[in-house]
Amino acid sequence: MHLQIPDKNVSNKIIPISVLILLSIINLSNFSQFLVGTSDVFIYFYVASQNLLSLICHQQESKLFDFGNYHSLLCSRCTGIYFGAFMNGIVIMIFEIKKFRWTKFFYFSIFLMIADIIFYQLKFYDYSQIIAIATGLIFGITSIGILFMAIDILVKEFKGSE
Amino acid sequence: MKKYISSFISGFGAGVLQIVPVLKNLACCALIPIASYIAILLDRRANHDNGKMSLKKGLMIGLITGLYAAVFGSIFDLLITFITRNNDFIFAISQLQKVMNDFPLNEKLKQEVMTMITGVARDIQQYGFSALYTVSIIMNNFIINSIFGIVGGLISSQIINSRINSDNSEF
Repeated sequence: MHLQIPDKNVSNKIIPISVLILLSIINLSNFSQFLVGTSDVFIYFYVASQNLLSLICHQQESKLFDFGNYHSLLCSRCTGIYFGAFMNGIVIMIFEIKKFRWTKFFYFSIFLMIADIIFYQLKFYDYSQIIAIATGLIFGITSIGILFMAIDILVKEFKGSE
Repeated sequence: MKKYISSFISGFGAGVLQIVPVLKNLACCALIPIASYIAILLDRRANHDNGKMSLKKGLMIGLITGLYAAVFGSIFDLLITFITRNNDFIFAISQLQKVMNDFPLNEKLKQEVMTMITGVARDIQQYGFSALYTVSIIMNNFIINSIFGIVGGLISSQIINSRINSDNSEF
């Protein structure tokens, strides 16, 4: 199978912008319960979001963010991951950060996340939404850094093969 | 087919794990990217490839792993739903009903949505099959798994390449 980007002058920014749009949809879906109050149409968006996000998060009730009658559809850690990825994606795009050693921070973020999971599973401390969202946030930030770096190289590879 | 045998193996594994409740909860969204990483490692091992890898290849392996996982995940999900006449959707119904009552919506709309949801639940419990559930599970699996497969493939390739870079700079 051979992949080819149809447009020869494909902009390096099209793919990162698509990734950011996707992340914004996920973040919006996460809080779709709050939108239902604003317009009836959003009820279908909420039902679809509930169904779709159940594939990427366990949605355990005790780990969701509660705001009165409403709650987020992603757990604290996943909320952190997708929000962190979205925010850092915007920062990378605006400031055009290209040379940064994301990989080392990526390993560190995985270590933090796994350490948190092990520690609360072994009852060293109770599950904390703050720690979960913080570790998720760091993981999201570093993941999007590596992903954007990879996309940059990928676009160059495609351009080079033309 | 032979070219993407590593994707087939790890995609199959991810498809199976996607429906195991406890593992599914633990792995969360990491399951497919991890499967892509394993597929890339298997491919490199099979081809005795120790050099830097092309991101294009990483993308393809990730995408195909995600697609295989979507195929097997959907098949197993639908098969188990058919046999047990039960699934996560049935468990989520009561929660959904409670949430729906809290929404400031007009009664007609609430009724319409609840009729749709309970119709799906009734079909699953009676026949072990619902057309709406089948379409949604197949579509969602294909969209989500292929996206996460691509992301996993790209990140894995980048990590492998940066490890090779740092190994080379040590000498």
